[in-house]
Amino acid sequence: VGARPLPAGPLSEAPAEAEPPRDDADEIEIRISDGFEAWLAQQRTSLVFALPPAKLCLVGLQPDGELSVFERTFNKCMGIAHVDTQALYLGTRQHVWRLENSLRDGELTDDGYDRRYVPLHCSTTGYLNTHDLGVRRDGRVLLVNTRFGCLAEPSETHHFHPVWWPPFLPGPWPNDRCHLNGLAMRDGEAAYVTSVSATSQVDSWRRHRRDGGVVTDVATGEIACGGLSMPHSPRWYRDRLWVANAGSGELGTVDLATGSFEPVAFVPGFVRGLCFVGDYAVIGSSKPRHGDLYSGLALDDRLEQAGVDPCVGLFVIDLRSGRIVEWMQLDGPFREIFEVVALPGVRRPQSVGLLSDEIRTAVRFDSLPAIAGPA
Amino acid sequence: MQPFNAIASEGFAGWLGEQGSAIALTTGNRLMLVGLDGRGELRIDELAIDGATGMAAVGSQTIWVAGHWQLHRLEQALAAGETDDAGHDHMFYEQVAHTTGFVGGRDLAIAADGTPRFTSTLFNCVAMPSERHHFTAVWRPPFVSAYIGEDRAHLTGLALDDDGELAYVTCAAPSDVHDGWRSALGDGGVVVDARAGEIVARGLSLPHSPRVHGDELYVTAAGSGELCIVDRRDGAIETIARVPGLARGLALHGRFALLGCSRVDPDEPYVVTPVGALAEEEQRHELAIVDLDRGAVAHTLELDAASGQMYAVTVLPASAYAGASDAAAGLREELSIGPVRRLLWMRG
Repeated sequence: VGARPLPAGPLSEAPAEAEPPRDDADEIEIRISDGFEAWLAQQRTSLVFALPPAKLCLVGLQPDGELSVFERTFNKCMGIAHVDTQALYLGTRQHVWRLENSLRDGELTDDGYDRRYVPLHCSTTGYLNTHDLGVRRDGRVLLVNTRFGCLAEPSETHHFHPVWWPPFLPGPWPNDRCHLNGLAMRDGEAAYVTSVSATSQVDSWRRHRRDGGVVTDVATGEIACGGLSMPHSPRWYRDRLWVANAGSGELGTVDLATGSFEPVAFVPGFVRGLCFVGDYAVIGSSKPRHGDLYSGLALDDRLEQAGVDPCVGLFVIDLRSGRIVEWMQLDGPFREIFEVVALPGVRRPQSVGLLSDEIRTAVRFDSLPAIAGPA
Repeated sequence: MQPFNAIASEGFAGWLGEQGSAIALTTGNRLMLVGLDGRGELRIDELAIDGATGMAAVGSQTIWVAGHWQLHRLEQALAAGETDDAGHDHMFYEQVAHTTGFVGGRDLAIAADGTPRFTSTLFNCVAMPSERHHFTAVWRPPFVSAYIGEDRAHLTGLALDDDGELAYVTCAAPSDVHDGWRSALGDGGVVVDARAGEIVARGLSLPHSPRVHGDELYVTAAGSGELCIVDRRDGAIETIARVPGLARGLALHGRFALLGCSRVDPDEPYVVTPVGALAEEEQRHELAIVDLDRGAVAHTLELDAASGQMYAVTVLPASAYAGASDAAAGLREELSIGPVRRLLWMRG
């Protein structure tokens, strides 16, 4: 009898090294603007963001108004979406996770958190280079499958189901042709996607990073805006289409009548990851590095002109003035932020780690009415 | 995972070939897939699954496994008629994991709605996966007064009827106090009719793996190493076959019963059972194939104890040689892409 050796390893996403649960994120050094905490308090929101290659960060306020930071490890944590702040979806290297809030309405944990996200469901996607996620009206998740250039659904029976791809691609084929990366949901359906090019040759998007980027209308398949530089994070907000033109460091809107990009604000970084809170946008900033994919773009010149070094962090932009009003800078073993999501009405979120004791012991369940109850 | 040795009895491979099926086993720390390769050689593939206990298959396409704190849904990725380079006709990988937390899972079956039902010894109940919670408790015995994490009755096994509805449940004892079952290991076990909420049979030692097959209700008495038939009218228990170890994990396949038999770990509470009293060299660690017509063990696949305690056995009827892959490594390049689900408003 022969036993065929198979690679041993955990079936879950967790890295091999044990990660003790902890309250403060000592690997991540955070600096914030003077008014950042007050802004969170005023807007009654907290933020969740993804720091590839490994971290999910949840930022809110402690009871005394000081910043609360909670981080968890997920392998190549990228896209994030939430459902009414009760569930978080997370796209990782080979999985889509759903984390459910285990607290009842108004309940706080013993240490004062008002959301406690437990990773309850994990669907294997294989490596899709998953970027943005969106949740449809019926609760189903869409993911941007960058490797196959399509929108896809996670599946119970397969790695994914393709659901849509841009007309300029021949089909949901592998080898990342146009670097499809961003998804704007509108009224609970996919509305717009961003890609770095509108080309179909394998890996061809790399040659179009300066000005080949497009926003595509999902319903019509038509290009809603062209000439962009590595556009990311399209979002529909207050009846307008917003997009992060990462290669120029600009947040702007798309005039859907003319197809032109109208810059609203310049941010000193490779902008990607975008959400809105009232009159503000929160946008992520990553560090371009000499010689990498994010360099050799208009952003380099603008940073040099402005005499600033790009940072990894978040910027809060007042949509009325186009000005940066608050910021958060992050230092640690990462150089990019991929996504940021606001959790309206949540003051202080936390999440349970995959390697913590809690994942096994803090069990919450409900029950069906008894079929045959106690006599 | 510790490597292990396996010794098949002379007729085992021939018997397996006659069935034209592969066998899946869980052994506490792994899923084992036993089959015959293209040359008719016996092969055992394995996949590490932390705390693998209860297990059931949907045809030969899906295997559900209850793990330490997750339920794992394995799917097989090969198309009909396709084989991989090693000759596997089915190749399983983990497609979905549900977090249940630690529930002390033991047995698992697939209900009529296609979702698993599993036993929780810790919470004394039968449960199913939940969207919002770790699990949804669906049934508890009438003698346990609450869904509570106290392992009162040690609810081990469940049987569905032919319609996929919960029919019978086994408990080590009809106890309603914390850890109460431990003092009744010798003969305190019961079989409960889940719909009537009544005990139908008593006097079993650590019963497990109830199964409805044909007109009969089978159950194992793990602690006495017995495979039994329960007369549902009067509760009489007839012993069909005996094995020298904990009899746990049972699949009925035609006129054969596939029965797990595990050595008793000297450190565990089961040393007080009848099989625990057997001398160490008398105990065996094996998969026993019981011929029900003859009431005797016909073939065995002996494993050494490094393979872990056996909890569940199932037959994969449409596979002769099934394999499994760690999804994190094996299927990175070759993904299983489902049919296109077009968005309603997609043109073309």
